[in-house]
Amino acid sequence: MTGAGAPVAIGVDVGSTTCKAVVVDRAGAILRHRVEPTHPRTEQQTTRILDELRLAVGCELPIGATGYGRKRVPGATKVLTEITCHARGAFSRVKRAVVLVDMGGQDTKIVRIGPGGDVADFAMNDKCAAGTGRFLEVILGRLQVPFDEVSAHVARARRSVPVSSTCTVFAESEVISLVAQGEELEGILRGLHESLAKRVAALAGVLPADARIVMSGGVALNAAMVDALGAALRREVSVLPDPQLVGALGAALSAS
Amino acid sequence: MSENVEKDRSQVRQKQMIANHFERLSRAKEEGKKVVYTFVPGNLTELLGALDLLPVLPEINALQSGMRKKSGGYISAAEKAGHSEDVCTYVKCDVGMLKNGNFGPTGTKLPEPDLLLLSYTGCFTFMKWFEILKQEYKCPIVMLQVPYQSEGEITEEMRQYVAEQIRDVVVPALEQTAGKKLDMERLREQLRWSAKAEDDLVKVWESAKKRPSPIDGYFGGVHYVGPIFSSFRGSEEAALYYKELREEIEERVARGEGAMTPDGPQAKEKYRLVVEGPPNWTSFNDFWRMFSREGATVVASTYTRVGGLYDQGYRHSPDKPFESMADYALGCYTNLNLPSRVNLLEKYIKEYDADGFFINSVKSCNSFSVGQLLMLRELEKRTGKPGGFIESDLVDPRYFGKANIENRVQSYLQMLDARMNRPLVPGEGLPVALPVLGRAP
Repeated sequence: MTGAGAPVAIGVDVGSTTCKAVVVDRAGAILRHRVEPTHPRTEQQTTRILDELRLAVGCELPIGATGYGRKRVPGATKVLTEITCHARGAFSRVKRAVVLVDMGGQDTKIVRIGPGGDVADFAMNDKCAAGTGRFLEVILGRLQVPFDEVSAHVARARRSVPVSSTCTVFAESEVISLVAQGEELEGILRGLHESLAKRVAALAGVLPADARIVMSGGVALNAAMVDALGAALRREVSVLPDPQLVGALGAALSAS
Repeated sequence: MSENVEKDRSQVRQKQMIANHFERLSRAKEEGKKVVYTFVPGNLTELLGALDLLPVLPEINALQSGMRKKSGGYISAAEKAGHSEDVCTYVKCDVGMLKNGNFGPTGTKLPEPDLLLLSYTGCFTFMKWFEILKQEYKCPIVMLQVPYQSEGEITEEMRQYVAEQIRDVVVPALEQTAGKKLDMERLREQLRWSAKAEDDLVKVWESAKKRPSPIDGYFGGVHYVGPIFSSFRGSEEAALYYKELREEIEERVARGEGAMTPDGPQAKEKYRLVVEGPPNWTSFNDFWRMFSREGATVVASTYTRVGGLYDQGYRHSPDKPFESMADYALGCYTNLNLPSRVNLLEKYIKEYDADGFFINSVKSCNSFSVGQLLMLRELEKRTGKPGGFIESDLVDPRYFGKANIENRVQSYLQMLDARMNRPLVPGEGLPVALPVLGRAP
């Protein structure tokens, strides 16, 4: 929790994998937050989360909603897409033109944010979850590697084992096959991150020479992914504070 | 349109025209009428009408099957019969319909063709499509070779090359099928009715230059082009339809009404867009509502010009029947080279005072989709207007991910809104190499 101003708005980001909510003050500081796996009945879930947050701050607040479940957030006063909200949230933190890479549960977005804070252009992965948090989750589950240990595993890799498949399901089969061939786990994980980063870099296309890259979304909590993305883009990649909450933050700021 | 939205007089007339046509087709064999299957681009409908031949357009059947939620089953049937997932879904929908008894979109049985008239060779798929139908129906094909406008113009040599084929190859084949000689005066009469309908259609298109636009020139527009692109051009009936449509639109303008949407007239026109690419037919109204419910009206589109660039001056002519039919085939939108397509889109964006443009890139149609990302960048550079890009398909429901597409459309409109409601900051809107909306990784 940062900042200590009076609460002015709530932001809810109902993503495909996790549901995030924040209470912000006028300066955009996050006073309270919640992160939970998304429940199939999102309306009930967000009702409960909103009740808890309202009870905690002791007042009614305008509500901004975003994410795939944004249309079923009870009482939302502002409903916007994740692209708009991640841009708004990111700009409130960096206050300059940047290229935002948001790697979420089931899609990855590249958003070019203009010097005024608005979305100038964006790109998203299409039709397939390869290159997203879900992709990593499936493979890590198969390898029985907890998410918070993955960076340490990658750091220990003596070499990278290429993983070439472009489809989550096929990549899973390929990884199983590599394990069966006796390849070391660490090398496979490094190869996997590199493969994923290349897909995101391809999505980003040709970036302007002076583009600054910032990252949001739950995958940004994985340092190995941030490093791999930086290598693929050949740029420094900065992770925004509370990367998983950036969409909810943008929703709250839009509603305030 | 929604069931509870009252239909315009012209819509009722068009629906009746289509029903009558399919009814005529269902009786064709018992009445001794001959049937010609042909395509929309470059279609020679006036010739067919002058020889009392009944046209069937497999593309139109496919798209109507898509709108009636039948295409998914037909495509599966075609794939089971060995057609790859990568094949154009119009083709697979048509083949699947054939394998299921060849009942057309209105439920009446379609007659088998007496002749396959391949009116446009710019689409390679068309040639393979009719090769398949030839095997299925064991009937002859006549082919019109249409050179691509690679240099961005129709030269006199190109015109004469196509006109000679119409006169020396196509007409004799049609005469043989019809069992009679072509009456040139009847052909001229057909062409006169065509030009009259085309005049009225142009007035309908250009009404979208007004604010608010009284029409949606894409989602609404595909309904307006139905008669002229398909079986009815060259008939008095079609000319009457377009006169009635034009008068209805003029009435809408007089009342200051916005475009008709699936939910009724557009209450407030917030965004004016130009659209490139065909629509998705399987979720047509859902797709339309993604725009109309956000206040976006399409003021011009290129898909509605695939059957003729009438607003750029083209008309069928009774004075030069074969030459004007040649120009029609040579001038269809997908026969233009990429620079000409970009020029046309730029012109539409400027002349219709659009706020932005949107591309629906469909998996099935290479004639449309090739080069669209390049077009997007070039148009952004030339006009300074933001472009949106999504991918879907014509009639394969598996390629329309509603949540993903809606997310992109809304994000695009929110981006447009922010851009329209504040002045540009220095450095914005510059033509740099940008990430492209919706591109697959």
